[in-house]
Amino acid sequence: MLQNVIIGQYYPASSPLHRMDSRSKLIAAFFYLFIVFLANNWVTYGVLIAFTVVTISLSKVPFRFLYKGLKPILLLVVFTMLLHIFLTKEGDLLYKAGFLEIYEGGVIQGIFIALRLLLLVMMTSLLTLTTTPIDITDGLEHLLGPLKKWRLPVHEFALMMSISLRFIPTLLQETEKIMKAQMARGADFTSGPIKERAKAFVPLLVPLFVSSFKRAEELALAMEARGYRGGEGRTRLRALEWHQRDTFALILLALLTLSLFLLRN
Amino acid sequence: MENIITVKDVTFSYPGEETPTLKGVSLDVHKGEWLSIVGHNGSGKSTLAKMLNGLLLPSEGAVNVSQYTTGLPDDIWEVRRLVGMVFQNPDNQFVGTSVQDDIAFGLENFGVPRDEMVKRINESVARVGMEAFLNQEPHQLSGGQKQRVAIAGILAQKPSVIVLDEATSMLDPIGRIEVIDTVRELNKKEGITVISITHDLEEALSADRVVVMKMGEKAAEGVPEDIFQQRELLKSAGLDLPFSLKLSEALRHQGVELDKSYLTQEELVNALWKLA
Ligand SMILES: Nc1ncnc2c1ncn2[C@@H]1O[C@H](COP(=O)(O)OP(=O)(O)OP(=O)(O)O)[C@@H](O)[C@H]1O
Ligand SMILES: [Mg+2]
Repeated sequence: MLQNVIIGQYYPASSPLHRMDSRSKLIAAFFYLFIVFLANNWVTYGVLIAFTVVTISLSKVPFRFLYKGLKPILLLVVFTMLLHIFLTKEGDLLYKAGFLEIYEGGVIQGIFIALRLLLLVMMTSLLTLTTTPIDITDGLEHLLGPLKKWRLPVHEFALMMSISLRFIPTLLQETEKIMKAQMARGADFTSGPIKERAKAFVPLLVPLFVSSFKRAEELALAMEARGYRGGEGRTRLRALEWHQRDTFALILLALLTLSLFLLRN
Repeated sequence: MENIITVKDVTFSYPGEETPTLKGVSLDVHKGEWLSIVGHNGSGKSTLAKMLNGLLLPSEGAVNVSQYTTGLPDDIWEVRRLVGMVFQNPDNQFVGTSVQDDIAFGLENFGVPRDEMVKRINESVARVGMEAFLNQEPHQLSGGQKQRVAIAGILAQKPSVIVLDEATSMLDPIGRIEVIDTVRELNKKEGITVISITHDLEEALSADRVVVMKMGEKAAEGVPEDIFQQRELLKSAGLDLPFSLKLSEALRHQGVELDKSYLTQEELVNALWKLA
């Protein structure tokens, strides 16, 4: 379970998508969020679906991993689909039972909206499935770098993220240790009414909080001792490398956008 | 003998505290020596250690490292590079998400170019025997291994002095030996000066010199053979006697004919086996 939290949902594999620079993937995913909304007829949705399916198969991520990311929103998808089916009153009347009327336009709208949501979630999950959290952090730091000019603490934010990632397993181990210590003293985390269970977590959270503050203080001191003085003049070991494939991917995305523009109603 | 660090009449109070934590402490650290600092809890050892790399600045007096002064803003970064510090808790000084990222942290701070960084990481990780672990994450390492990574991070900065502030006190016996042996080799073979704050008297016994701290003052300074014979001094500083010394005295008390009280286990064993 530890492993799961640290790497997020990263699926280790060697695919063209895994090898892409995290910056190009971030740009592409961000861009994709917008162009999904360009699709408004069967042809454009067909193009988008084809593009997405090809990208997913290139990533070598098994579909069940994508499905894991989709599961939590499936209910939302079905709900919005039904909402459109029942509420949109366009096109031919397909079915009528009492006050319930279903129109052709409603069905089509419902399907389109559902597709749109599914495509969006699949593509963004694909980003986190093929990129480690630390690479995403690095990519974000580079992409947002120019904002430093407006005094946005981009470097600090990235450092905070990477330190959090580094300490998640440590804190989990500690939680487990405190939990066992409290259980040895008779604490019960697993049974009883919710209110009692919530109460049982207080003696778990308090020591965890106290020790986290102590850790933070010691870590700050250790960082200072090693010459840390903010982001200015700092060099980096982790190098991001922009390859031809990254440029190529973005060009493909631009072509997709163009074709969506040409094919939409 | 050439001094690498000189502490001159340093007095220091934490903000809001009435009595100073350090009172007129003077100390010379010789180049290439192993200096142990011992003393009771709260005697000011860690505070003194933080003076040495400018984490704290003296209220009065001065601390010089090589030709640099900790109190000068222009010198402070060079001081921090020259004097590396290993703290007590192995987890709370591991900054990077992997061994190589952690070793790189200091180098990144000092603006070392990337190619040079990679070279120095590979070299220093080998010097602490952790080359097989470059891509490991901290939670996969033992305490002793994390401390060795911390040492590698310091070595990469090409330091003159390593300060260990109870760096082995949270480790199991194996981890303790790993770390001490690593540092000892660096001290002997590469001439890196070591300042070790410790409650482990056996470790202090093998130092070149020992400083005894007592209530913010330097109570004594000298070679271990001298310091650990002064029972009154040790007692007043709240320190125990080394085990071999206690054992030899107990044996003499029981009528075993030993010439004197022995400081180290080896000396004692040597004297004992000749008796039979
Ligand atoms: N940040 C601080 N603020 C105020 N007082 C402090 C602070 N740190 C330490 N002190 C006080 O200064 C004194 C010396 O502390 P120091 O940590 O230097 O002792 P030490 O010899 O390292 O002890 P130990 O063996 O427990 O590590 C103690 O009385 C302590 O309470
Ligand atoms: Mg201390």
